[in-house]
Amino acid sequence: MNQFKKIAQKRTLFLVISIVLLVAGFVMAALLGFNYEKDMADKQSVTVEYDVYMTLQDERLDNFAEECLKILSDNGILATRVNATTANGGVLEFVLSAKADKAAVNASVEAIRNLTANSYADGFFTVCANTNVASFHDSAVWLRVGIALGVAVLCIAVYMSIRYKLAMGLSMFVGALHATALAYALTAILRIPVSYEVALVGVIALLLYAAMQVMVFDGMKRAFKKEEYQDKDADTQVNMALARNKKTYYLLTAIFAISCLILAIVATGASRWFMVACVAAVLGSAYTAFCFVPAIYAAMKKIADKKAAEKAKYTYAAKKQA
Amino acid sequence: MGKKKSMTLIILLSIVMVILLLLSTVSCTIPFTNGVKEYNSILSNVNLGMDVNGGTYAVIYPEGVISVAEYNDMEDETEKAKYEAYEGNSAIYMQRDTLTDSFKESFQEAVDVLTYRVESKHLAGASVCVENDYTIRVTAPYGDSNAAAIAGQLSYSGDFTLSYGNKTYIKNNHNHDISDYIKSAGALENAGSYLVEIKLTKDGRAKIKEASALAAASDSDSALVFAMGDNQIVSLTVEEEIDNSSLYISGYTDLQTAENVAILIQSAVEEKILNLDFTVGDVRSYEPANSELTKTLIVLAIALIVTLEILLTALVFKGLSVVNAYALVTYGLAMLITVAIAGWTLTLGGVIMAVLGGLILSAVNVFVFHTMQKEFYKGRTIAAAVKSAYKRTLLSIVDLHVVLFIVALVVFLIAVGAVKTMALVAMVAVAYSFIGYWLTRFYWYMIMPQAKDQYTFCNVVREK
Repeated sequence: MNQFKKIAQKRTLFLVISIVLLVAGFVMAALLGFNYEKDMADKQSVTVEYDVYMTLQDERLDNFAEECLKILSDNGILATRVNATTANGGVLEFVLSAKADKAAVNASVEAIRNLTANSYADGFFTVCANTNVASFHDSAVWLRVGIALGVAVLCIAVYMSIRYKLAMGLSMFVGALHATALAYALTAILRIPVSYEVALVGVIALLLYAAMQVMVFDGMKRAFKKEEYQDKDADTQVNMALARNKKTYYLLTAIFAISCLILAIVATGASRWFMVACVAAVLGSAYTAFCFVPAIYAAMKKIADKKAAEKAKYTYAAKKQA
Repeated sequence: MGKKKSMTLIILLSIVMVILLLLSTVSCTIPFTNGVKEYNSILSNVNLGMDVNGGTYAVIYPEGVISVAEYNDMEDETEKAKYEAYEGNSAIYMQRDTLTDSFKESFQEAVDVLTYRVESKHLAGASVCVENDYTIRVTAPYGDSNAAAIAGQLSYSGDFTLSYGNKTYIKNNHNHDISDYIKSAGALENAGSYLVEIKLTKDGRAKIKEASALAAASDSDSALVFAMGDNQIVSLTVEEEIDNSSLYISGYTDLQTAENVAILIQSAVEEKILNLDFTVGDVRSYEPANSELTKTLIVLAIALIVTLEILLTALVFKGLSVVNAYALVTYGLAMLITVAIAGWTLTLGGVIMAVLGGLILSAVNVFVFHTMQKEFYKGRTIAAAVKSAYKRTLLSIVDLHVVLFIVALVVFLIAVGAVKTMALVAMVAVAYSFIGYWLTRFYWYMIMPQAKDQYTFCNVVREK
């Protein structure tokens, strides 16, 4: 309970943490961009084209690919294998970093050519070194995602203001923007390798945050009606309501994060890193819903309570006069 | 509910679920067909995104540039002598004297134009990149619009023209741009048919009216021809004079082809023209390393997550975890069947949304179970506590689902590409989670009569 006892009083701390993370994230993203995976970044590759005859010999092809990877590795180059097929045969593509040493790549190409000539001459191979410059970033996707997130945040804030309280709606608005921005910021700061799917991380963060925040506000709304909350100030009320359901919040965050982690463990390549970015989104959303927004909401509630008290005082005085 | 009725329902429902689970996950040879016919599971019919399933790519070569394989295949020595190996890498050959400054400039412009055209399709994962300095690689997911279709159609070069017979009515010249005649072009679907919509300016409308009047009056040739360079992109048969502010061209068998035509016209409006001719090389299908293993592992991971959810509920609510398990399995089957039937492309983002829906359903059930226990300890019977718990939690559950649905709907309506599909999956997941909330109540009433002790089943103790 202790961790949740003084959440509302830690406003300044949370604000500082958030500002530091968001500013650092956006500076990183602006200066260095996201850390795009190989399929979104410049790269080199060694391709080996083979005849249709070889496509019938899976095991032989696998052995050949292993030998190619060994040649590359002997030349100090780390490569990942991608299989591609065509109507006339296929292509083994070994994807390398753009920074891989050109001389080493050329030496590998020569060695692979010798290998094909000596041991696989019946396969009709063509071996080339390729350079590949990424030039595609779907700016329209980012623009549309940005607009969609903005409109969605506004809609849910209005809904929460109508169904709950204005202060809750306003806090939801701030929180939703914060959770979404934080997900992108964490992805940039932690240099998580991302693919074109990075735009999805913000949407996932917003959905997770919205689910968590509705649960938090619903818990508060129920708790505030109880007698033991009536004579307490806003900060205490918020702290008590949070502490009351802390196990649920821990569990919810743990289950969301573990689910993403499990998927991260089983996925490969870019997909794995996307799931890692989702774990960052879960943690960012949980921090926003359970720490940042309650602290902000407590401040807003304090002002709202003060106004309500003054209004009640005037109404009482007016009634008394009348 | 009586014990016998409850047992019958449980057996029936369990049989249906097991059959659906088997149909969903197991592919096999159909018996008594001599091993000829295969049954493909529902899971194997789910379209997976490029992140898991791979896609297609094609390399396109500007005129004067060929691949090393094409060079090696050349038999005509005189023709072969026209080419020399490109110094920059070992993958391409170039015609001698091709690499001029104007070629370099045109190639860079071509990359920008092709990037613009492919971007306009908003395909999840599609990309354009420069390969080997002077070739372009176009990558796209599997489907109607694979890399061959995109690279083939979107790499048309030359000026846009609209002509009838020998006369050209719309073209770029010193006095006019295409945008003086055409405002915009787009593809749309209307009652199962696919159209290209061209919005015309006043001048464009007049030109179309003039050309269509002549075409309609002709006995022999009644087709207006829209072309890009030497490539005809639309041949519009006219039966009467056209005098509208928008021109609709029908007859496309799929949206992707209509979209490609619209993109070509729109790129002409925006003066994004290719000045180099391109040849499309081999189209290749590729899959990421360990793709099959990844697919299996993702299914296992989802099974693990569901098991984890059920075990966690079992720890806190004992018998009620069975109710939650039935609800989760129903939700999972419904999601899988919907995605397979609808033919949506499921990226890892979509998988996350489906998992999120299951987690929300579990969280909602835990909330109801917890409220039921509270209601019970106020002195109610179990049946009354369940009823009261559903009544007390309804508004909160509705709020939760409405908020999530709003987010998913707004993102679906505005976003494009992979984000749009993910939002669609999220919308369905939220809707099924809400249906699951009500189904849980039904399962509760169905399963509880089988418990020897209802108090133990709900993990509550009646104080004496």
